[in-house]
Amino acid sequence: MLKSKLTKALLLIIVFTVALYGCSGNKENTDKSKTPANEDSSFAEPVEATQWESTYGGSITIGITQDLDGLDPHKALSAGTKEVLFNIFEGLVKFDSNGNLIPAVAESYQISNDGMVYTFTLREGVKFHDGSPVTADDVVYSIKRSAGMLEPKDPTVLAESALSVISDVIATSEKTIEVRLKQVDTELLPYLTCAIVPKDYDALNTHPIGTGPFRFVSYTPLQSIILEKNTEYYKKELPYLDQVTFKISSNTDAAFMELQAGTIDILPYITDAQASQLPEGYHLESGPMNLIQGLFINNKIKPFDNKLVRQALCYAVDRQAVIDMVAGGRGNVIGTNMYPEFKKYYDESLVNVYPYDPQKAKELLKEAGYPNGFQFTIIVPSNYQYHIDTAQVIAEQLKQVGITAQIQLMEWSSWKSDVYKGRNYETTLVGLAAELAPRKALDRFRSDAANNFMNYTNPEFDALYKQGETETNEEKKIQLYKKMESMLTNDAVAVFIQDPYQMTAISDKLGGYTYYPIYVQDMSLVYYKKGSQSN
Amino acid sequence: MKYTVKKCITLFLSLFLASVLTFTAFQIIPGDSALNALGMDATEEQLKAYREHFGLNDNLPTRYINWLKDALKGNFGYSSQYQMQIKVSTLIIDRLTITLWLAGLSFLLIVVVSIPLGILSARKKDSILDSFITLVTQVFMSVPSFFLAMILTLIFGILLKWFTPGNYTPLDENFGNFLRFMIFPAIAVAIPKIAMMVKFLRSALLKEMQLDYVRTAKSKGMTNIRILFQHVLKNALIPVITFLAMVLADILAGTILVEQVFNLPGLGRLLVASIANRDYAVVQAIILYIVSVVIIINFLVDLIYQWIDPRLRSN
Repeated sequence: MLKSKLTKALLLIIVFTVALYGCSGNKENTDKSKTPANEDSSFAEPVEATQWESTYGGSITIGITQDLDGLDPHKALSAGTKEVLFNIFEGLVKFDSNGNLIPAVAESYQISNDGMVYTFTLREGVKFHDGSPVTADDVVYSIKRSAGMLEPKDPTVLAESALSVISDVIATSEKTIEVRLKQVDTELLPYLTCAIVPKDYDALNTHPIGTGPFRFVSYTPLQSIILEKNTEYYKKELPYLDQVTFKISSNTDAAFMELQAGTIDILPYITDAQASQLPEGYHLESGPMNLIQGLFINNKIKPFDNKLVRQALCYAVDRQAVIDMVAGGRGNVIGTNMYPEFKKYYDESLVNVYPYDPQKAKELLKEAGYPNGFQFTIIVPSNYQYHIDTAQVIAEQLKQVGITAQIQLMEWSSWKSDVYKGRNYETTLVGLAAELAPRKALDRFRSDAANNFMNYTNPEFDALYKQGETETNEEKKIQLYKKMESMLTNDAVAVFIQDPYQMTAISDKLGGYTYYPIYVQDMSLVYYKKGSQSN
Repeated sequence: MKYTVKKCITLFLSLFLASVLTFTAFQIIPGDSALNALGMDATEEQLKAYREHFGLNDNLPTRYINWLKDALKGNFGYSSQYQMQIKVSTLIIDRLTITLWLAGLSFLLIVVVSIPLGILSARKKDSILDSFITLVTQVFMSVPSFFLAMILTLIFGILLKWFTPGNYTPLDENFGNFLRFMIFPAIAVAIPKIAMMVKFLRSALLKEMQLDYVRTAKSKGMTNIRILFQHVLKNALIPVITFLAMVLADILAGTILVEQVFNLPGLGRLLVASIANRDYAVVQAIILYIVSVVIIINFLVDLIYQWIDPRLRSN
């Protein structure tokens, strides 16, 4: 009996030693695999396309962690889907990597002097992936479908609200299209990037056909979407790759494991921790995400209806420290609600309005009648670890001025209906993703805007916004926008934190990966470097 | 016969109740499927049109009856997370094949490994081998299968490179590669269940061996092996079958976490994605499937009991 007990004990020890050894061995491994790219504050510079000689051919796999919510470009909603569909579809115009609009299906366009009519001339020889040429009728159909102007209405088409300013679309000849407006709108053009699809083609959701650099091959939900080179693309030199597979993983951890195993060549949106564990043969590229991360405040609720309290919060948060702790220093501090990549419209000086100053914060709190601080809740969507981490750092910082912040995690679906739509919250920490035009960043602060979830009301702001909508002189428009931005900062509508960086792990064999100021994974520019192609 | 009829009635009643419960539960959960489908900035008009088009405005009983009517015809509607472009039934059947294979493979492993081990352990009671088996089962019983999945991936996938993590090959593409990949998740699912099964079988056998008839058989001169296989095993079978049935129901109902780790596009992953997207049609159908599996297996077990043990029929 004693003997068997002893054996048991011995075996137990052996098992535990093995288990413990397994753990420690693993840790050592990750430490060793720290790459130079991890050295703090040194951003990996995007590799210049000219630095390497590009080759044609080959196939790659990109990891994505969100399934597509459809293949029909006018029905898809999620940013993750649009990123992929960018390779299949194009609009009359298209964004380049600097955020400029370049002609795509259209060769050129003219805007009438009163700004009410846009005339597009189609590019010669653009073909759909099934080989049929793009006609003016296809374009008229596509814009009308995207704007929700087709009858009978299909409730699953997500009509783009920015296109509602269009009164009619007419094909004036075989090659020209006129877009007529109800009122002048200087920010319509970015939305004419909406996908051009074949007229009355009813299989878009199972076999999408577009004009983009890649053709659709197959899609299996929760598994993958496969694209192949469009050999008849109007830019003869693009794309480089023969085949691109977007592989759908259940989460970033599973995707990263595949990267470590070598089955994924490019993995966007990796975390800071993953960036420090890149396996050999991969490097890190990073660029701004064009996202406004902030602690958004319900301006109607006590004590936040007091401007001094909101300003105190702004002074009490050390934004650079947040970036250092959460993202290893990768990110840019912002000071207002404008996407930084709209460089002309973005007022960078507003970053310095509220420097980190806990003393000043305490004074303001005293003035507002809260000398001993107060307690409030930060709601954070539970699926965004990045925002959760940020909230934790901020809660710590607020303790310094006597404010107790409790973090409450909320499921994303509930967040959308309760916080965003229902406005039933005190503060919430999320990121507001960039839109195609700068005005969209300001739109939500109109007193009567349906998406004004911060409950900001300022008649002065409303008046400026109205003026900005129809202002055709760009210089004047920029002035108006900057005025509105500084209004938001001075009123301390929210604690604007940062524009985070996105980090992408890329195989060393590949070059040409390019960041866009909008959510896009452009695979047409990616190529195998000369001498490195394995297949 | 009367027994079977009674069991059949219970079966249908339970299925009906389960469907009512799942349907109601998803009306109470916060979150709005129209908002999910159309986006945060959808206008009230768009939301209204959407709700009207898909009958989300009707009252609860009407919607339940409509849903039941269609469901009985095998039509579970369209998936809202795929913008109403994919049929729920197609979506589920494709995923189900993978989950069924996984369940089948692991069940096979469980039966093939645990029954001999359990018998061995009971026969060599208190030997070193027995203590060793008991110890190992104790350890593996307490390790959750998703953790085993991670360990297996680390050891066999990344260190030994016996398989490539995430490199799942669909069944119709290459059966050999499919099997080669599926065996690892199957092992991860099977190990904790094997451990439980061994422990369970061992104690069932030992309990049975203490009964009087074993002594009688022994005094009549029967060998231990003959007693074990001819008498004891048969009598110990009833609790074992119950246990196996529970295990089967458990793995058929979705090996959700293991699928996540191995990145298998099975039913579990679909369920998680659907709940996150408030895709009620899919979630209801999957829950109904899970509930049905459990209820039907229990029903079958009841039938098997009375086939093995006629005494139960008279009760």
